[in-house]
Amino acid sequence: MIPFEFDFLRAETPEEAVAAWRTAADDKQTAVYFGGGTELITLARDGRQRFDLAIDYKAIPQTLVAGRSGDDYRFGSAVRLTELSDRHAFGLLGACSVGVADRTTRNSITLGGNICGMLPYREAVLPFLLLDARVQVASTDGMRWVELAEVFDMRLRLEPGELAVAWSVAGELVQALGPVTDAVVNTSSYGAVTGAGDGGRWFYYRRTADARVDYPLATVVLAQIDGRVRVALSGAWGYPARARRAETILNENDTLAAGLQSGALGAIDEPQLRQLAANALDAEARSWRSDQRGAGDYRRELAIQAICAGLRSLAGERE
Amino acid sequence: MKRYSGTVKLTLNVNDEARKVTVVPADTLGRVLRERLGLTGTKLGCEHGDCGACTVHVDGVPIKSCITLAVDVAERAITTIEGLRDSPVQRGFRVEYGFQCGFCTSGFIMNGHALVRAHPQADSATDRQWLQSNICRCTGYEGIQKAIEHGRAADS
Repeated sequence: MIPFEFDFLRAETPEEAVAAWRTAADDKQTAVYFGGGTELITLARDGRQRFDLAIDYKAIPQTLVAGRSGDDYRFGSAVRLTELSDRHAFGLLGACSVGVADRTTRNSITLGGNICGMLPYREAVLPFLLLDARVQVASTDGMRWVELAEVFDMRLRLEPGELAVAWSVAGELVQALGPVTDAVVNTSSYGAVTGAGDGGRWFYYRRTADARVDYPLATVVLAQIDGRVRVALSGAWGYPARARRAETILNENDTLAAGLQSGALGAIDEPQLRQLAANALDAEARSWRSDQRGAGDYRRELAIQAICAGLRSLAGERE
Repeated sequence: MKRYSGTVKLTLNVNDEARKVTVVPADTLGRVLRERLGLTGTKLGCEHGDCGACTVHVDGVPIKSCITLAVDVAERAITTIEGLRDSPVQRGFRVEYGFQCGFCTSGFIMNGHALVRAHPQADSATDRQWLQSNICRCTGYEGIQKAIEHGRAADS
């Protein structure tokens, strides 16, 4: 059981939620936003998290939207990860959601909870980083949309008390990438999912130490939109990030660009492709996560292999 | 806006019955079901969201009651193993000997029941993905898989 008492408040509007947080802070109390609660309850029981007020945002209508909204696709923070994975309109988001925890836990985990949680992997944010998403933020000053790239650096960096209400991606990008076209699970610790739409392709790779339901050694997503490659990773660096420098290296390689356009990377042999992927990742100049699940060098190697497999997949080659 | 503070009286809709119970917001659903309502068919194993022994349905969706607050599911329809009465998957577990020590069984049945309802047609990849939510320390997975397939066939 949870070894401390707290209040539970079900907010029905963003204004109620942020006002409750502010009031608690003014009273020198700790408030947390509460989605599915899976992480908060687990950490609270272990004594690693303590709070006086849990503010449940799942009754706020804006946090429950999922799907087309005008020119965009909009996903509320209270949408459950299983709902995202069972909904194929945004195949890449579904693939990234399936990677998190197990199914019955994903029936509780919310999109906002995964992205804003304390665990460092936050894999559901990867497609939003990749597609230049915006996030709707509620504060005591009202609601505003901000570019995700401006407020996400390893984690979402909002001001204290601000609530991430919803996430928005340009509809043309979601449609360009399209739904899942193929899924490969070679072992219990490895999975790759690919998709294609009416203007792009995507590739999702996830590797764990030895069980499917585990934190990732490396999660790598690639997308090709308008002929340009985009890359984002989690696990390998211990936090999710868009690999923009790596993208520059890849996109400036004319042989790769030609191969992606022609539908085969035949002009690039395996050692060359591997070197290109290694150069791209090393250009990021980030530290590779090392822990009991896997050493940094191993995670780097997995990421290189994932980039190579992903580039072949984007070119239309089967693994 | 609704605020639960201190000791609160709650009405939980469990197995189609309105059950009055006194809780604090920190009480998990699993503890409340077992210790306040006497519904001990729901087992608490890891209490960490890993083993799945505590699986119940909320509005027909299987969730882990050890990582769910009771106050969070007030006004929702909760179904425990006691609420399934001789369902096809339960019969499958009997016929196929889908249990050994039995501790994980109610969690597997709750998840399996939701699985065959959501996916009446067999699909091994989907079954595997769903059943990864539950752990059997006796490693009786083959019998469990057969039991759920039996339940699916009987349910269709």
